[in-house]
Amino acid sequence: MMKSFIHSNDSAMVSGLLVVVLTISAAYTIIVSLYSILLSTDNTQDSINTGSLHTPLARDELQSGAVLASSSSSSLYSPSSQSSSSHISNVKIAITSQQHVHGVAGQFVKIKGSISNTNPNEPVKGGIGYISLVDIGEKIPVDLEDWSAQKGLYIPSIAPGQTLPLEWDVRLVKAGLYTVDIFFNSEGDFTSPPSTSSKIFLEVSPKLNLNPGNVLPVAFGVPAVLMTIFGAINYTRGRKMGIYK
Amino acid sequence: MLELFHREVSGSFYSWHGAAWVVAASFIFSLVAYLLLTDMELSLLDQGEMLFTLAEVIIALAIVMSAASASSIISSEIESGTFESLLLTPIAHRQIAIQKLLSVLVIWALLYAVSVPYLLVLASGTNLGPAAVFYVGLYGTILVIGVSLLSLVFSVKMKSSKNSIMTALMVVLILLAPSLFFATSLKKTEFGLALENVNPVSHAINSLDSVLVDNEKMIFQQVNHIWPIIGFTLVCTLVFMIFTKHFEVKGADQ
Repeated sequence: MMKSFIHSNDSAMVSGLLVVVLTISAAYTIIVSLYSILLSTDNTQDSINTGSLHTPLARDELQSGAVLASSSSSSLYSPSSQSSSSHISNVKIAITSQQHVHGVAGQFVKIKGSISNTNPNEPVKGGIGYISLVDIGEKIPVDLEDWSAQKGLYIPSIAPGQTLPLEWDVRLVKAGLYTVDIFFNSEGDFTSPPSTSSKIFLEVSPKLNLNPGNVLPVAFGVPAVLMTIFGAINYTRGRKMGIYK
Repeated sequence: MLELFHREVSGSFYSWHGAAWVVAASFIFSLVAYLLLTDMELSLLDQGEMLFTLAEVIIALAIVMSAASASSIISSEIESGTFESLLLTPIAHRQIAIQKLLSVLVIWALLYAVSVPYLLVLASGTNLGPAAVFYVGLYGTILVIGVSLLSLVFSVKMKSSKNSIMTALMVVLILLAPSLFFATSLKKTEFGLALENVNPVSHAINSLDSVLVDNEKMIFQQVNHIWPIIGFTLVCTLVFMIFTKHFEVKGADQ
């Protein structure tokens, strides 16, 4: 009688716990789903309002991304003064850092450029400035994920005759020959090609981190020391207990 | 005051077998470090990437080990019939749980101590060593506390080591999944981003990436990652406080 009562209590406890776990899982799923929906709604509204097509992630990267004289760009931003007929051909991108960069894998290099509005009368509508990396040896474009935390930047507008500095910190991940280009894509303009800079040639030498002299004492030493310590403790206890004479 | 804690710790390391996991963990770290620094292809990786890889291994191993250990710490006593006698001692029930938890944290402390030489040797020649040691210690400690608190609750309530270990490991796998198993493209979808935003382990791994690969070592640059991890541990503490207030005196086989 008592046993079955405890059994039923046990089952009730397990069932209760399962209900709690399932409720937490359901709540978690709902939170994640709602968050996803909120993100997508926010993104859609943003795209409608500004005409930008980038994702929230890209937007975050853009905002925290490459170095631009943010004070000057924000002070220059005035939607009312923007002309819908601003032409991409008025934009000129120049490289201000070295055209040939040599580095060793693991090293950070700076890619510097400037973007100018060559039209003295009309401002250039906002857009995205970004860099593109191409592996010449492999003949493939390279995903910038590991190369630069700063992928691009949103420029609200460029005033007539204004030049804005651009700068990217790029980490040289893999040895090889690369080209880097700076692009500017005007927002809402789906017909014009992007403005591009001239190419920067990037030559990355390999850095072999072969360091067996350094790692070997640790890789073999730590397990050996641990085995010695625990072996000694075990032996001492064994002697006290009379296992080892 | 901490008799139970002392008994747990000395019991864990009483025999050679009890400490075998430390040696096994050191072999894993040795293998990873040795391969990273001697394999021709792997040694082409930047040192930051190497450190990040090892940091991921340390954090993942710490979470799995603490979950496995904490989820069986009370249920094993219930199964072996020694829990009733433990409850007869004049130690408050929550104190028993806390002292058991402290003994699990010793496992993490030991694992962390063993991992430090490996982190330092991989960071040799860079200025990433102190940052690697600090952030792995910080995230490892907070996550291990959180996961151990939750696993201990499973152990208390399920009363069966098999069930509690399986449940704890499932939770750990769910926590580790976005960082270890999701492809980059999946992580960048809105679902992936949302999942990573609510997952404390993802925050820890992403922060380590930011510190060791992107060289963002300052603590204020990592605040956005640190708070969610602390929040997770606080929630686990709340669950722990609720479920360990009182233990029931009955065995799993009754």
